[in-house]
Amino acid sequence: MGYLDNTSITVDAILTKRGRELLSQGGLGAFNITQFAFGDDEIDYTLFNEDHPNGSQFSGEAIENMPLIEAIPDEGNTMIHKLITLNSGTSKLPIVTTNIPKITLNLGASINVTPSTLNFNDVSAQSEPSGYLYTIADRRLLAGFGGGRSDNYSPVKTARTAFSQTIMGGDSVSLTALNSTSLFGTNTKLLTTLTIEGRDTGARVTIPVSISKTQIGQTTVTTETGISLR
Amino acid sequence: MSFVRFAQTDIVNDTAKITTSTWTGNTNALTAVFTSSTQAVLHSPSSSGAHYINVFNKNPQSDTTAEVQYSIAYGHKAGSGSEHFTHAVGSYGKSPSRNIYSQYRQLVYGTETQNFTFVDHTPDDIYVINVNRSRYKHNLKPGSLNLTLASGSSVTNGNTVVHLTDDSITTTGSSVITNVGRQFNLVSGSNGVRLGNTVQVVGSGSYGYFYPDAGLIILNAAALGHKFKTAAYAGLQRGVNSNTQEDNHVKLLYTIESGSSFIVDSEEKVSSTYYFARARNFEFNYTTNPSFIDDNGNVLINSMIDNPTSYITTVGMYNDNGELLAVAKLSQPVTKDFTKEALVRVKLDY
Repeated sequence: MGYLDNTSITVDAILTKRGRELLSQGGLGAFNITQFAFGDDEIDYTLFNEDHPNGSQFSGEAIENMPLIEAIPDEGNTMIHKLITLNSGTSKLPIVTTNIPKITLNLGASINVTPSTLNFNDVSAQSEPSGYLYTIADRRLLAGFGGGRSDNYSPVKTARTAFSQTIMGGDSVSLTALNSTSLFGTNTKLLTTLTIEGRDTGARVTIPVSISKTQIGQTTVTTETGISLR
Repeated sequence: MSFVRFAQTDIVNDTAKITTSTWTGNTNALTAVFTSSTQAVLHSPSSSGAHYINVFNKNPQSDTTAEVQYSIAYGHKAGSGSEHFTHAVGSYGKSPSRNIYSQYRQLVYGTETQNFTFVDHTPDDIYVINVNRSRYKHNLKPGSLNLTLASGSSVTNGNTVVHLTDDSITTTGSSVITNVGRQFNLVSGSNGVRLGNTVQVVGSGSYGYFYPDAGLIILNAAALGHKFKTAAYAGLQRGVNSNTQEDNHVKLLYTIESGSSFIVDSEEKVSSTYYFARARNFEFNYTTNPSFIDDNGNVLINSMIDNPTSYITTVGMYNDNGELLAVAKLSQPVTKDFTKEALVRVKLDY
């Protein structure tokens, strides 16, 4: 007779910054966990050794013995790579692409970014039914940040912690650069990133955003100064 | 699909009581008594020292890590035993000792008319031990109080010794509810168990009350005075002259110092929620990890096309808006494929 296998793993969770923010705003009423996801952020699958000399049972030896780091409380820096559920035999996994690989804006300029998901439900490119999460790493650089959707769906504004902001919803997102040079200092451009994550697949893409100090439609006004004589 | 909703039965709430020692450094018994020469200025009725004396765990004059553990005060309902703030007609009796008595009477009873009565005896004066708020969590733990008072420097040298505790165990937790929470009798005994059958000192009432929710001990000065009849500074014969600084709280301080043992535990209720995150055999076998696929989404490892394997390292917990509210890390990666299921119990403390 042996010991029964204890199949339940117990782990302690920590609150993220956003979790603390919500808990402080409205107690457990505002802090309402309803769903979960699994992640594998620090796993490098190239460590999976198909040619292990001891056989395929040992292919995952390196990964399985990897000590893991403690949880990071910044929600923007954890759960980046999620585990997903797909049918067995899937050889191509969903990936998110955008119509614009890199965003460069002048002061006050706007742009729409439309993501699509490839290899999802055996369709080459489509919008995900549940929409996307859009996260701008430094919200200060934008005068406007909003999502649109063809069926008049209103995007939900969510996390606003530190400089980042996440909005949930639309088939596309609109970015409008700030119209002020106050943040630039001596820099000619400011950089941030836009991360788009499919809510159905968990696939995500991060694209760089560059805001140039150049103004659009700049007007120069010349005035005269001096003494007016009769 | 990357998100899975918790079923109602997957979320379980639990509350546990955590007990620790009250004193700094998790010290069980506080044996030493130190005071600050700058705080314990006694002969000025407007000074804090005339009202109470802070007791430190180390010498605050020489050790910067010294922390206040508790305070001792003396209260008299007519203001005797301390100097008047203004010694003039119209202000007689207004003194630190009256301040203390009135203050704690208001706290405990919420009225200026009810005096502290210990069983059937209503003394004119009280001692107060007020445990520093930063020393305990939610409340002091009933049944853990063990305070030794002694009339001399050695508790075995013929001196009077009293071992005080609350009677929460003897009364099986039954208490009087006051404005500052539960009230237990302070009795002779140990660990919440009363010694003998009575809470009283003959003719003087009980030794006092213990208020664990407020971190307070109110001592019956008459009962202690009856028990400690030695008249020296180490005894507890109070000076009750009017407009005279009698340093009565210092007398209690020396008695505690001679007893050399003050034990009381701190108690905290920690509410935890357990979330059961399940990965069934057909779920979570693929990953969006970029090392798993190439730029076009093709699985990089051939054997994983037919037998995909993923590794769970993190559990993310979200609200309906998709905001990540809590995160838990496993100590080692858990292998997941179509032949394995995983159940992760995530504990979140508030």
